[in-house]
Amino acid sequence: MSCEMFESLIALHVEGDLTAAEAEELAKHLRICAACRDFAEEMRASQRALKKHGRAAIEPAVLAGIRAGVLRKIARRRRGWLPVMQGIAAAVPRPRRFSPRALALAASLVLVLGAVVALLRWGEISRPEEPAWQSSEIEPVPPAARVEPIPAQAPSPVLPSAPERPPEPVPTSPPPAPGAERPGPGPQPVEELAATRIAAQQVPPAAPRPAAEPMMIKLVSDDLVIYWLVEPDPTQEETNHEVTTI
Amino acid sequence: MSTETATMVWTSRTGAHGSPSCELDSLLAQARRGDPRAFDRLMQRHERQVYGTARRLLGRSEDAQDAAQEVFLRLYRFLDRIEPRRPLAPWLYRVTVNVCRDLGRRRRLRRTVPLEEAELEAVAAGSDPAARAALREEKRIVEEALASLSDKERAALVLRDVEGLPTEEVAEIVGSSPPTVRSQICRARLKIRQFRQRRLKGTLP
Repeated sequence: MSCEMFESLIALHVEGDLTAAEAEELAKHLRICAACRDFAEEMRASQRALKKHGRAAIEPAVLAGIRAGVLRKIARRRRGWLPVMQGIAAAVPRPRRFSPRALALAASLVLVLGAVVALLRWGEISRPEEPAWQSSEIEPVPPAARVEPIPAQAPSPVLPSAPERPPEPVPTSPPPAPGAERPGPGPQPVEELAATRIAAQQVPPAAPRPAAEPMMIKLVSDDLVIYWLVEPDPTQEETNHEVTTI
Repeated sequence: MSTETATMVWTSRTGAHGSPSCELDSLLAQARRGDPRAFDRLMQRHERQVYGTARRLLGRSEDAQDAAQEVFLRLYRFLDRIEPRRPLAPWLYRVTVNVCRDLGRRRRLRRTVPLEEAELEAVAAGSDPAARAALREEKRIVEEALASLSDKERAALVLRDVEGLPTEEVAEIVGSSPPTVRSQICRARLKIRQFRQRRLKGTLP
């Protein structure tokens, strides 16, 4: 048997993993081979270092943190509603960017938003000239206080000043009644969309803008962001649109 | 009787006459009934085993903490399926190895020991700068040598040499045969020795 083969026996021998016959054979070889004796000493030193650092002290705070984390997660699961949510989350893989699921979600959001915009326009047109808050005890909310500003440097796939704009995807609102004017800011019925964060922004009312200035709408979900350009009907008189943030 | 009272009564009774297996059975029964204190004590009994093994298999403390949490969450999930009067440690070893294998695949590139972690442990060891430096270097060599092994070799070596389990039990935990585990242990020890010698002689960066 060569020294190379004895090295394997030495690796097992240092931890007592040899049979009696193998150990006896190795002992005979070690008596006559200085190189294998050195090898055995290196192997023992290696094993000592492995055990010394393998069994290093563990900080109690680390262990306490692990237990606290486990108990916290278990407590969440036992509250009743979380098992349902976590079951859904476990069963449904997180959709990738622009996956069919995400696109379906985006399409749904667009449909809902379109319906809301149509309702808003319809309500504004059919509302009396006097703003609702003037005829009731509801305190008016300044438009600027409800605006979620979009930074000017934020990348936007649709530029309001672009000469060519995409066709208006939002369902068109009913034509305005002759002479009808849009009222000022009033109560917004869009709280129904609380589950979806929708931020719509418009050029600040104080800034003069042309009558055909589009309205920028930003749809935000967990997976994608949609910028939407709503182009008002140029035949309508310019008014200050309400900007709503949910 | 409240849960807390029940735990205290059980503790005083088994403190004098209880055996470890009876204590485990009682803890398991209470944990199955939803007693968080009992489950916390279950974790305390095995946390060093689970975290220590995960720490050796994964290399990083943060990953080992994540793995240990996942192991205990699986223990909680399978409380009803654990057979009473059987030691829990082998089952926990098996789950720990599986969890670490899955976690290690996802975090393959992060297996090196962060320098600041080794430094902190070296500082805790003593005030002599030379001794601290030597300790830190030796620890890094061991960790990097462990990282150079295959998953199976590392699991076999950690369970056999660090945890001190017999080869037959290691084979049962990793789902292999004793001769295969023996071969893996042998190769792993030879690799660790070779890695360490080359680092000490400066032939390995």
